[in-house]
Amino acid sequence: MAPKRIPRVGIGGPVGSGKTMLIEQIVPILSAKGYKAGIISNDVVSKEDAERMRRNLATDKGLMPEELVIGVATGGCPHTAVREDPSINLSVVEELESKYDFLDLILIESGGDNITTTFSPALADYFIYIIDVTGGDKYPRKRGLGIENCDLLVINKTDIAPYVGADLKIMERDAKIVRNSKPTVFVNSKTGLGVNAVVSFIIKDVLFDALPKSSK
Amino acid sequence: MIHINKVIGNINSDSDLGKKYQTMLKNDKVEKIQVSRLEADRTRIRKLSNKGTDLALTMEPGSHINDGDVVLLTEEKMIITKRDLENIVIVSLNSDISTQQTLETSIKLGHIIGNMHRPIKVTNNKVYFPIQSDSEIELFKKLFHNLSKNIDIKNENMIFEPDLGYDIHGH
Repeated sequence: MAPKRIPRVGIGGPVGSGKTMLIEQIVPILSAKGYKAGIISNDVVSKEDAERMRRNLATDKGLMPEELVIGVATGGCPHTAVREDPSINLSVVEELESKYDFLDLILIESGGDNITTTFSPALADYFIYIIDVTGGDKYPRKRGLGIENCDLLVINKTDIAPYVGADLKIMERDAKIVRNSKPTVFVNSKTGLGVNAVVSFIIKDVLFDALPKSSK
Repeated sequence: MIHINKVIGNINSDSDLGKKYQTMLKNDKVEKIQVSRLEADRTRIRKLSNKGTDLALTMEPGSHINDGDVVLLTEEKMIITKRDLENIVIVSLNSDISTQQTLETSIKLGHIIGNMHRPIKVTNNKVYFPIQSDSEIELFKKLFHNLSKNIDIKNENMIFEPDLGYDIHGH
C-alpha cells in the first residue's frame, strides 16, 4: 500500500529574500502547536541552507531529527527542479512519506531564483512566494508569475523599509491589485514579527485545521 | 468545513447534471468556487464558495478540475467549479497562404513563442498562449512582424488548457 500523501508547502523567492530564515521561524511555531515538519532545501550548487537549518532547528533547538532536513543541489536553473521536472524533489518527498508517516507537513524551499518561479502542482499543494523591501515599493506592481500566482505573498525585512525608502502601504495596495485580493503578509523574519500569520494560513489552507497527528 | 474528495460529474458533459444545474440555478441553489489553472491540477485546495460554503478539496494525484465540475450535490445545494479566465493571445494562420508558407510560418511562430517560454494550445490552425497584461500583445506583434502578412493576432479573456507536455517554462 502506498504511503499516505503528506501535505506540502513550496516556498520560493529571489536569492537573499529570506526563504531559509522564514522556515527557521515557521518550524518552531508549528512545533509549539504540535505539528511535525520535514524540510527539503533546494540550492543550485551547495547545501549550505540545509546545513544551517539542520544545525539551527535540529541540532541546537532539538525541534526535529537531523535527518528530516534534506538538502538538494539542483544545478542549473533552480525553478526547473520545482516546476518543469520536479522528479528529484518528488523522490525525496516520497522517501519522507514512506519513512516518516508521522509528519504533518513537508516544507520545500526552492533555490533562490527570479520573479517567475512557481511550483508544479504535482510537488506543492500551496505556494508561498517571499520578496523583501530592499527592491523598493515598486516590487509588487512590477508583477511576475511568483508574485501574482502564489497563494501567499510574504514581504520580508519590514524593519529596514524606512532606510530604503519603501512605503509598505504602497506595497500592500499594489499587491492587493495584482493578486486579485489573494493574501499578503508583512514579516520581519529576523525577529519573527508577522510569522504567526504565515503559520495560520498554512494551518487553515494546507492542513485544513486538522489537529497534529501526534495528538490523535 | 465540508471535505470533498472527488468530482461528481460535469454540467457541460453530463446532460442529466446539466439539467439539474439549470433547475437548481433557477431555484437559487447553485454555488460556485473559483479555480485557477494552477489550482486545477492540485490535490489539496481550500475554497470558499460565492455563498460562503467552506470546502476542503483533497483530490487524487493526477486529477484535474474542469470548468463546470460538480463537487457537491444535495437536494438543497449544488456546488460547481468555475475556472479563472486568462488573457490569451490567439494567432491564426491566414487561409490563403501556401503549404510552404504555412510550414515556415508555423515553425517560426513556435520558435518565437518558445523563446518567450509560454505554454501553448494548438487547434484548428490557431495557436493560443497566455499573456499577463494587454501591453504584452504589443511585444508579440513586434516579435511576429516578419510574419504579419501570414497571420492574424488578437487577444481574448478565456479559459486556457495547454496541450499536454507544452506547459510553462518561464525564466
